[in-house]
Amino acid sequence: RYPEMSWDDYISKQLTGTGLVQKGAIAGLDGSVWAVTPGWALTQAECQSLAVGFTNNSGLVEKGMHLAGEKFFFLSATEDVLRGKKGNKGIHVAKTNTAIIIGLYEDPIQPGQCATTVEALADYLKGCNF
Amino acid sequence: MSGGVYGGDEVGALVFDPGYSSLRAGYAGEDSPKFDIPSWVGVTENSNGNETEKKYFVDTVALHVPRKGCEVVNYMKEGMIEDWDTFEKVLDYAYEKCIKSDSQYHPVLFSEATWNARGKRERLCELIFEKYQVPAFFLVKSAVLAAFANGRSTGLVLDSGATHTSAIPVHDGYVLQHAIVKSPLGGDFLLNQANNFLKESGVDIIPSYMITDKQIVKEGDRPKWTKKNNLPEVTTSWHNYMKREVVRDFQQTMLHCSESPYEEEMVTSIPTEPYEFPSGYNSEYGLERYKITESLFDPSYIKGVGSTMLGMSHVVSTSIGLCDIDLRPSLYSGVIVTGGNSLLNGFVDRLNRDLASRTPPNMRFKLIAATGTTERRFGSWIGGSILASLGSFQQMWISKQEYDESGKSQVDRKCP
Repeated sequence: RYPEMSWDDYISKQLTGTGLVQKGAIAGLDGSVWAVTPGWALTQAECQSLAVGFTNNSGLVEKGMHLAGEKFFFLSATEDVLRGKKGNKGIHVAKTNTAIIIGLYEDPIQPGQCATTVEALADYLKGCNF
Repeated sequence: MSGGVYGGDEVGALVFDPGYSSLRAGYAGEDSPKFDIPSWVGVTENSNGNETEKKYFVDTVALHVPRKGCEVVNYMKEGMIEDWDTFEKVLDYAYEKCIKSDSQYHPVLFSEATWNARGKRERLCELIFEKYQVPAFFLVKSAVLAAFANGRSTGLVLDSGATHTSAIPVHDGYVLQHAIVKSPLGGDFLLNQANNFLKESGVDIIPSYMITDKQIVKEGDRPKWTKKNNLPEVTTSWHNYMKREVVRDFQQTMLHCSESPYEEEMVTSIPTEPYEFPSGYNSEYGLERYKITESLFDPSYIKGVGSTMLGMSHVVSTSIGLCDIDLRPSLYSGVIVTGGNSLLNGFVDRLNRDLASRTPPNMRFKLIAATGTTERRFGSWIGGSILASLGSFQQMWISKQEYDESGKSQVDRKCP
């Protein structure tokens, strides 16, 4: 039986707690924010346009990825992963069955480190049918 | 020491850059690859009852010997590795005869086509770790490496190689996949055009392996040459490969790009140049040298095929047009030309002219093309050599330990 964790715990322990993700968030596929690092003002509309991007990336290509009002350049999208970059900051978004996990990294964290951490959490949640 | 840090000073990393015309291999930190192994491999199949034994002939020296029943194959297709068995044989050859060192001591950096399929990336990762037991591995898109070789991490990379020419926007070391534009007009396309032209002019292409003796003839006269005795019965594929090599030499020496859009009167005023074939046949060529290459920039010149293909400058502007509007200035001010086919005489000048007229008025346009032949033919390899020797890169490798723990999917996470 897995220990009971709140969505906030997932962020503080599995994402930012590792030191490899600067700010994290978990949102539903409709964009509703389930948990987010305190102080990071993500809106539902922003998360929803990210969620849509996994299947149809034309919106992200045209306008870029917006998080808390900051614009990140859209780099790539697959069915499971989105990547964005802005200067020495970047975002890595992974999709599970019901949610999206957003990780923000900044120098000196390497993109690969943030990617591995976010995707590991996504794989775990998919394994729990989330 | 964390699992991912490797002493860049002690054991040299190897850099491999597989392409359709050749596999470039060498040591990281050097300024050009020590080994340039053709991707064309000779294969003979001998069946003894139930078993079929395949023998492979890798690299120019072994390949150019006429052998009975030896077929010529290329293990690459569309810029990606297709025939894994043959590729393994070439890698074995590279380690044994070129690098001459055990694979388990050297971290390996591979370049890959920008559109490489996920299955192939994982398969390569698996092959390298499982068979060759390397201590660390990394995979980088060749366009990104070409940009690094020119001192940039952002720009529009125009890679004109053997099988195709592609415009790939790179931003901060990441390829913008959605904006890649590919055109099949590359070195091999020009080779076919040149081949057709020579056939139509009645020139008989005799590959050098058949010739033992030739006599000097006057320009345009029938060649007088003696055929070698005791030639083994060679396969059609091998014979055609050797014929293509003759045309390739013609293509690389004679073809020239016109500085401005092709105009018959202007080109006729340029003096003709003589060329002699291995058989002794020689002739002067003028118009055709420019006409054949014009199809690269103006596809309406291609005979037979519809002109729905994009010319070189079109490929560049379409690709930039597909990118985020805020990125476009940095792309126009850094158009990086790379690839062996770009070494065609006059290619860069013509491209410069065409693109300058196509750039939107408010944007600064700059074309970056390395002057040396090695820098452009081996652009991706050189970028790999630079990257693998950077101190800041040493923590980015996928180590054997990571591979053992997380499997081949690590390549998707760590090598974007």
